[in-house]
Amino acid sequence: MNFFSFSRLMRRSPFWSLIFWAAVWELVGQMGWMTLLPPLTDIWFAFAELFKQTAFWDAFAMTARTFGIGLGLSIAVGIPVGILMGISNRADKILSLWVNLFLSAPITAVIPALMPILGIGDATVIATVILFSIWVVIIDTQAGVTHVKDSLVEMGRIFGCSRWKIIFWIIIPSALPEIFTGIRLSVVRAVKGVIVGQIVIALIGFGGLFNTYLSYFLMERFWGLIIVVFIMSFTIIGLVEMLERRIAFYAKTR
Amino acid sequence: MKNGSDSTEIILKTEDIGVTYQESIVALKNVSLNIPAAKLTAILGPSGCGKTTLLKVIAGLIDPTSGTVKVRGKEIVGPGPDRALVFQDFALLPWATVLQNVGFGLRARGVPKKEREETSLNYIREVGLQGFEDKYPHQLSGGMRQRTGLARALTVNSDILLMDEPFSAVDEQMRRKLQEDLLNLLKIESKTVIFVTHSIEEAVYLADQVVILSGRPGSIADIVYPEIDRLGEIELIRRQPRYMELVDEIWSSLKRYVE
Amino acid sequence: MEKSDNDPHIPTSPEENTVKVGSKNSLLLWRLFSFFIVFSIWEVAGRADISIAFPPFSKVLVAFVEMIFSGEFFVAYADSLPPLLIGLFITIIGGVIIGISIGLARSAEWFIMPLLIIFQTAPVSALIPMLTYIYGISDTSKIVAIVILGMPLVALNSYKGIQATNPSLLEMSKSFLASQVITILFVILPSAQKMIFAGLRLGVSGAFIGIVLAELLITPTGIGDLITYNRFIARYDKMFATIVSLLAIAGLTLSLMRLFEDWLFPSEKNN
Repeated sequence: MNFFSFSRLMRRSPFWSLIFWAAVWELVGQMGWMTLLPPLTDIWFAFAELFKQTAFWDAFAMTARTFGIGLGLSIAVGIPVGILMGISNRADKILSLWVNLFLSAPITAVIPALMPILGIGDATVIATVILFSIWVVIIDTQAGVTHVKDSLVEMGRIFGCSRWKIIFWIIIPSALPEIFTGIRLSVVRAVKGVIVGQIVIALIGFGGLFNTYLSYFLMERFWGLIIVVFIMSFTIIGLVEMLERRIAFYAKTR
Repeated sequence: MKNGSDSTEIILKTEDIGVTYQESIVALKNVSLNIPAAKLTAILGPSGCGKTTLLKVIAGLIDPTSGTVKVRGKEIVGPGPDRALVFQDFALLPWATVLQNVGFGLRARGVPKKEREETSLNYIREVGLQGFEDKYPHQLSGGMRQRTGLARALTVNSDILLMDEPFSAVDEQMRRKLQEDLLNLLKIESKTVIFVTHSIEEAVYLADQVVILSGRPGSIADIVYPEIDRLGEIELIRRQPRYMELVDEIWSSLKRYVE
Repeated sequence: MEKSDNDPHIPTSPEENTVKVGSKNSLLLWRLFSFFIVFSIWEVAGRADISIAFPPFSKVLVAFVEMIFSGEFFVAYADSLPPLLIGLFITIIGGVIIGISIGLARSAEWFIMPLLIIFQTAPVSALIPMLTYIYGISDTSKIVAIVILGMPLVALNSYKGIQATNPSLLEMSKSFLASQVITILFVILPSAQKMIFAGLRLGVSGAFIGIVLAELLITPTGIGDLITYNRFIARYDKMFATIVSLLAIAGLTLSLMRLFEDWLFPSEKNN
């Protein structure tokens, strides 16, 4: 998937259809057609309530922490592994099986296994984030590396570059556009991972909050939180897309 | 078939080069060549005849299945500072400026930045790219990109310049200009050039020695010495009768190797 | 070509790129070797007493076989399969129709696109626990979960497939005075086939995720519940065996789909 979804959204007219849907939501809410869907205006007021609660900020801190650490590790480990798999035939043959398996597998199934081992806290969520996001980093990095133009590598050898120079001066810069795409996709997955991790555990972070609000049928707060989480994730993804665009300028001429 | 003249030093020799893939596909067979120093040798042949493979063997990028390449009597072991390569698709780093690209070979050797830039600027001027030092490859035309590649190859001061169909990715007008510029350049810089091409015209225009390769398996069909007067006006080369004769001769003998 | 295995993959010749290193047999051997390495590491790590909740591979293998013969797997998968299939059916049909509609009609695109993007990118799984309140503890919850997670992917891929139609083919069709309908049926849709199929595969992977999530959180039936139950009674070997079975089945299904896709639509290999 390589289209800059969110930013393009902002610039094109379909964005305004969101306003349309917001109006629909308001209408449905006001008419009381679905008890689970309060009108947007009520949810808007619930925001203030939401931001006053320490529970919210604790959950936010936890989410930010685990997201940051998990994603950071995914990228820090994923890129070298991807480079390795791109360069070495052997590494590719041994690892590609697992990377492809976990890339599209229902990782959610693994979370219950993590809980007894890593406990009910940061560690499990971090592990979930990593398990959600690392595979796409590896695969896209590997793709970037294998797509490096042969003549560039030959040129490096001709001018006497050692193996490491070729990797750092030629292969990595050449693969950067794909690496950044991989990072963007991993951010999307990491966001999902951090939320799903908390939801499955159901006692901590935003997952815990969602659970509480649902149990007490505080639907305004529930939806308010949903919207907050959605906006947070779009902001992060938008930032990554901006970064990605900076790098992409030379992608076409390779 | 005239004999290659005098007592020019033979700077590079290929001795009975053979390249076979997967034990059945023979790319090159029994290729033995003498490359005279400070002259331009063209390797000419139709597509798929193995001429690029031969050049890469000489460059040290491919290990031949049999035979050796010797530079000044010593066998080569891979790429070396004595041979520089100019690529068909330019092989420029797209994220680097012209200046950075030209300096790449020096950077690989650990030459410090200031010296690197000085040398690079010098050759950038020599190939006619002054003013474009800070441009990126995607901002340049094909001809300018190739000049960058040429400047880069010149900075490392190799005695032997290998050129792999360097002007084929460029339009006809630009190609003629580049050919002229190359001849002018060689008047200043004394280099041995091995030039792969599929254009008979180009070979006769540029070369002192034309090695004609026939394909499948790639082997030497003939060696021709154009002996065209290049010391005079470059524009007049194509008017010399000798030029036209040679092109016809070579074409008739090559015809049967073309699919 | 052996030495290139150790060195950085710096091609020594143009031909090398088209040479598959080793034959098909060798690839199978490498896969088996890969399994062997991973399972060995698992065995050693499991015995290392990291945690009581982390059994070694051998125990999990035993539990796996045990659960096959006791029929536990059978019962659980039998519970999960009907909602999975129904959900998939809706996801695929609905997704393709929606995707094609928004690809062809600008107005539909205006309405639906932002929703699709939100559903694809945002952590929609946050909504799954809410499904209990609407649909109770039932198969319907599972089906809705599958559809929420899978349909956006199918729809977006169908949309992209339509958008990616080669403009010169459209011009060609116009120049032969073909009607809109003919163009859609004979140019656009066939051209979009490959992406639509890829979307189906993504939809299937979304479906697996949806049903697992629903079963972990909501319902006391199916594979997800088998995992939760065994964790609850601290039979970690059985829990791991279930997870492995699920990953294996999901992995195999998706691999088969990919092979099928490759067979149906051979992609141009770089040469």
